[in-house]
Amino acid sequence: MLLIDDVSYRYESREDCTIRNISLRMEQGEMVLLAGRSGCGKSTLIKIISGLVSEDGHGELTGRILLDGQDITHWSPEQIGLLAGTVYQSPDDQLFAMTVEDEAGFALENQGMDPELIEKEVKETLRRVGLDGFEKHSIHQLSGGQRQRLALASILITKPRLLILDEPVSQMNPQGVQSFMELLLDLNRNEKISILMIEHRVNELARYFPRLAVMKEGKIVYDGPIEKAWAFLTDKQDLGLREPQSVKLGRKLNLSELTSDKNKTADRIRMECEIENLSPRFASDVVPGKALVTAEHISYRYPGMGEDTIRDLSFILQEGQITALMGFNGAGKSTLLNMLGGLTDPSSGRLLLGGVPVRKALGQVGYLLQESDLMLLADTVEEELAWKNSAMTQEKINMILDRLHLGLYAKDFPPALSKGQRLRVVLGAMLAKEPRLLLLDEPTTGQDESSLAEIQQMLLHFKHNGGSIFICTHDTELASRIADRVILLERGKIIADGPAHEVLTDRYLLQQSGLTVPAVLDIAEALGIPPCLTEEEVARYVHAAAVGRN
Amino acid sequence: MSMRQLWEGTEARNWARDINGQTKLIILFLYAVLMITIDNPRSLFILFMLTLVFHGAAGTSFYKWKVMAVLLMLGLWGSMVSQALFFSQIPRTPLFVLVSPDTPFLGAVTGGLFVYREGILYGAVQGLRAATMLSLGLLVCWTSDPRQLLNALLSWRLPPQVAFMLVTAIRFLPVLAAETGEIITALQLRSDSQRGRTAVLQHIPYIAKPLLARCLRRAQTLALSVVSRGFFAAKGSVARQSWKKSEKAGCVAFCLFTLAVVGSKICYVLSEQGLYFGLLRKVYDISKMYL
Repeated sequence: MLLIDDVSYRYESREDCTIRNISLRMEQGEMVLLAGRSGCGKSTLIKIISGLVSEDGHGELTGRILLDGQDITHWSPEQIGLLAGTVYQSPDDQLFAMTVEDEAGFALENQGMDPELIEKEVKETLRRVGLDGFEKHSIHQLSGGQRQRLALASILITKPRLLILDEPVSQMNPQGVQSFMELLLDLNRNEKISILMIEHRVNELARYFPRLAVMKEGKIVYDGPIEKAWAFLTDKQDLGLREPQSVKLGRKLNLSELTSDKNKTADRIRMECEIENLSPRFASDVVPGKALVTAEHISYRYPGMGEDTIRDLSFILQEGQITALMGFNGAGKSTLLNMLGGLTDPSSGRLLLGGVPVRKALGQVGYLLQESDLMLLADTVEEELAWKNSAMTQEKINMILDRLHLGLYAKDFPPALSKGQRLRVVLGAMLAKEPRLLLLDEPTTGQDESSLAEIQQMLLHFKHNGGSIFICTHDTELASRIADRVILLERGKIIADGPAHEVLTDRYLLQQSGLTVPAVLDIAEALGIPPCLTEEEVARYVHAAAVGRN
Repeated sequence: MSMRQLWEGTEARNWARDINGQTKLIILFLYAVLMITIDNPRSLFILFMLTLVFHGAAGTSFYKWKVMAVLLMLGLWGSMVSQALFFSQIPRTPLFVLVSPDTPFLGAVTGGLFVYREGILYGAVQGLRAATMLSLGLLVCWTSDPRQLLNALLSWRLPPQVAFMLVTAIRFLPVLAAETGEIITALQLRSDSQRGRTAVLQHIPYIAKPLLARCLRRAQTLALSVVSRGFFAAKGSVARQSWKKSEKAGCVAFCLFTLAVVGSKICYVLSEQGLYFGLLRKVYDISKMYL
């Protein structure tokens, strides 16, 4: 279906090739996951396949690309578009029309097809992606997941043989990812469409893809079955992949076979390890501390809405504690964060920070928005850290830069940094103001493993220095690693509030809140040991394999 | 209604959305010509009111009316006040004295500050011109799909790249509006003072940079997306929306009316310069009274 044969590409403005001697072969109906750190050349490879770099004529392209047996190396993007369609990360950026039917039919209109036929095709394609009935809707009325389905429909309507997807699920919650991936699987099985997806959240997608290709510095360093990749990836943290928890556990226990399959991991542990019958230990029980935030019967109703988004919530946040706020989209998490951040006042009830209303204590709150890029305002990283912060000195800036591992980029333009670096800059600017309470809205969205580890480190450092963190996330793995306490919200009400270990090991609560059950919890259950959330916890009950991998 | 919904064009009544993009753009263009040609405040006011009637008929929502009213009032008042104070043509009739020329220091520096009657009228005329075009422009924006306008521009044989660039702004208006709100929030959150955390105006100068950075990124992705969907290779794409005969006839009639107005005005101006024809006396009268 697709043959990339010894392809290299150098941008005109650069001395070195961004893509170096890449060869990749995909059969008809195959699904391949392409992963790698930001800047490794994944997006350039997509542009090459789509004909978007050979078209500009400025760079230097060598090698050849065959699609469906035809040499497309120098084809125009429009010609290639008939065989291979591309869906990008953010649906907001790629949709052009105002209504669903117009967007879906755009490509066929460009081909000069008869309007009646277009209408028929649009109806059929929207049905395939689960958007039938939405024809007349505005694209802005759709949810993020629905918009991504529409972006897919706008490509599928031309009946491409190959689908290229550039991080299409990076902004989605676990249910969104699952539903979108099931749709792709259906398309792949029923219509034999080949799928090439770029994503570094390998942990969530491994079960859908039989084959993984990993890129590093413009080269493919691994290309093969996904289950054989884990052994290859050992000691290669620099590739930035977020591996499945069962693989990390297998590595920690030195198992002879690493697999993303939970049951196989459990079997392997039973065969190779010694399981000790210890009593459960709750290391992360919430230790009562000084109250920092007090919410007393707070409710919030958006203007013009018939019912409250936040309904009669009461809770206390303590100093030096990390609290994770979790739940379905639309549960009211962001509204609650906005109230804590002083952006909106409760419609009723009292919200106090350090004994005074939050509105009067805003200097003590740092709030990192989900779209953290919008918080980048200065010309250099240094300026960004000192922006509107009169207490900042050069010495402090240097210290923060070191801690953020951004010393080399001090004079760089912040929006030009990688996604992980951009987030760290904003987080650094927040922490530089030494707030008492730090609010974070989905800080790990789209971050690779190494960036995630650095963010975790920064948050734990802040906590150990007495800071309080209130983090809104769908990431159960992150919450189980850093949170002391978890609050689950459903339709504006708290349905669970307790120590992280207690809440996150309750399978019923996780499902009720639309959260992913951690793989380690399933494995612990299969092994008959007390509930565990992290690899370290399992290792307490299981002694590492004596024989194991080389 | 959110900032994003404010700039959407999908909630207008069907008849307004169904009008062909070519009709909308032609009316917009001819209206602009009329606005430049006509000087009579009453006629300008009637044309302005007509745009408001169009809004009413198109089902512009109450929230959009409110936003438009603020924009129109700001434009009209700004124009009238500035011209009332700084009108420099002669004759001019002072209505009020704000700072007398005899006032120590300020009077000497400014030479006196007056509110001029002719200035108010001149400002009103200029303001009405701007307000009319703003109102009609918003109407086109709120009742049109970008593709509708794109098809119109393409059918006039404009290069696809240029047409795409012209229309993309409309596609991004809802997103830009929403993002501007988010950036103001971000600025409030990064502010170092209690006042800055709730203020909006003081953050406005900082909005441009993050917004521009995002726009560039978005525009690049959108361009890649439409290119791969064959937009620039479209060979005489069949517009899904045909240009109805009644609309064409309406455009022709409006075009003739505009030409007549422009012609009358030219004749009138020439007559004032001495090129006078007795045969055209009625035309001169109409021009003097209404144009």
